[in-house]
Amino acid sequence: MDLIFFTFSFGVMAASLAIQIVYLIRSSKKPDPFSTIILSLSFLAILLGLIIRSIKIGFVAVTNTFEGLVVFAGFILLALVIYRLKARKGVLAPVMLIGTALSFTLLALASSPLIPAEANPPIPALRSYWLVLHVLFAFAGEGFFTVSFAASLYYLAAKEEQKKAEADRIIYTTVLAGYLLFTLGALIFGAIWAKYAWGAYWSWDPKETWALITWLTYTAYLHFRLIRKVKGRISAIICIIGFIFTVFTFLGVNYLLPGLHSYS
Amino acid sequence: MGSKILKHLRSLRFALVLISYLIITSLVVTLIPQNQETGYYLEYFPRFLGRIILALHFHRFYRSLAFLLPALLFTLNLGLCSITGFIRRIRADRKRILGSDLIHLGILILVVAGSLTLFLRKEGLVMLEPGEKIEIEGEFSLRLLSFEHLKYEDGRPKAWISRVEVEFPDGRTSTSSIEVNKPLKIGSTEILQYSYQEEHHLKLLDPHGSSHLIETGTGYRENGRAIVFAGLVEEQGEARALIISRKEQGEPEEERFLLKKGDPFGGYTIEEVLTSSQSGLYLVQDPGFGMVVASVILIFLGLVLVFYRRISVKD
Repeated sequence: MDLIFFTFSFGVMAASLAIQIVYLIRSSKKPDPFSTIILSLSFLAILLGLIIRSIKIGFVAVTNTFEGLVVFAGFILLALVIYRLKARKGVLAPVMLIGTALSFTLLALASSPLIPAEANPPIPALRSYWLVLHVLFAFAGEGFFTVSFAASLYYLAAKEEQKKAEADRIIYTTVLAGYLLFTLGALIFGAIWAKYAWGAYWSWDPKETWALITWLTYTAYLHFRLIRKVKGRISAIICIIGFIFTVFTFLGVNYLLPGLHSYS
Repeated sequence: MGSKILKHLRSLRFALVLISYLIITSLVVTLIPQNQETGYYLEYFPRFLGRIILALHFHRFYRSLAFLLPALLFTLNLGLCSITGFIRRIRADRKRILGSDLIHLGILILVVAGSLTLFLRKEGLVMLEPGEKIEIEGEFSLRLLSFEHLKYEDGRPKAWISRVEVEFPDGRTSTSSIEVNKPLKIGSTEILQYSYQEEHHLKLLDPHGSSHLIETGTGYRENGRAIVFAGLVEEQGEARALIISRKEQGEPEEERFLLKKGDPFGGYTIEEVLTSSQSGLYLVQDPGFGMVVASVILIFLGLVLVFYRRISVKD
């Protein structure tokens, strides 16, 4: 039943992608008027699917790679919808398109046969509400980082100064929001969960270390931006590196570097 | 000269250099398994690379000078930068506490807490069978009353629950349960459900009516053959003892038997197939954790303040 909702979300997102591409090709000045509703619908389908899955397994469904991919995809959609609703100076359509494409890719990856989609109740170490907070807040932060990544790519490609300035503002606000959520989720709640599960709040496990590397990268960005007032190319490049680290922390570490997080 | 060094030590440029160094080295170190024996690095890495890892102490990186010195310099940089920034604002009559002050203070406390943990943390794993007891001198004794291993229908673990009795030096006792993610805290000691182990024994009856208990992996010699009790195997819902009989000399030859209670074996009879569970309890004393909590609260408040003040600023 939960998979039906995820598939529905996938289909709706594909439709949104098609509409956005058509609007971009037509060089329309305004972004398509449907994205907010379609992406909200897609997000709600993911949310509903996760609720059904959680009831089925008797715990919040955020404990394996499949669920992680779906949650991450959902938070990207949420960050895009928030951006679309909050954007004061109009929406940059390419940023929406890149963000939607990344969320779509994550759901596509979740549906691949390489990622087991069975809904199983979690093993004892994962039965903790600190883990739930850890995962949800970290992915919420990563959702915003994804939008900042999309805006960074747009910044590097854009030619008009006004568009660059707007992309820079998106990068800044989304990193600020993402940083707050990521720090809480990945580092603080993660450390509390680790303390309860393994008796140590920090173990220099590869996943922890990569989360710290990601955090330090965005810390460097914020220091450049807030203290040095550095905007532009360097900021955009740091955010792109930060996003690459974000994705590696989530997926690369699980498959390439064994550690305490090998199950997620 | 002194003020020049001080200025450099508290500069953002220096902080960014240190952050970059910590990012790059940490990144490299995640590719190197930590805390292995020296021989491991020479065997599993190209010899030249293994030597470099060992020479740079990248095999115990987070306790090495290559990490501790830059971390110390970063702490110094952060401390100096926070203090001078704060003094400058007071002189300029801008006494408002900034979110970044709280975050920096939180990180400084976190570094101190981390150092306390690194140097003063005590920990140990004990394996207890129901009825067994350990003493933590002068603090309490802990007796394992029971140990449960709950499983889901598909056989995956659902919970490990140790029921323990704690006895204090003044004679008071209390009973508690310890589960994964639900540790028991007694004073400064935290006790976690960490692992479990099952041990199997075979009780054999000899022709004279005497019982002999043998552990997994042990056995006896008979007519040039080694007879070993290799463990338990589930067959048709019943535990069977796996016995391996191996010829000790000449052509290798092996026979396997699955035997149950009452079966004759050699000159013996299997009187009982016994399984005992041991609960792995992890005892931790970490004097740094209280400060970690304080630092986390400060960092959280600081982040909220930064977010609240910055997000509405048009720039």
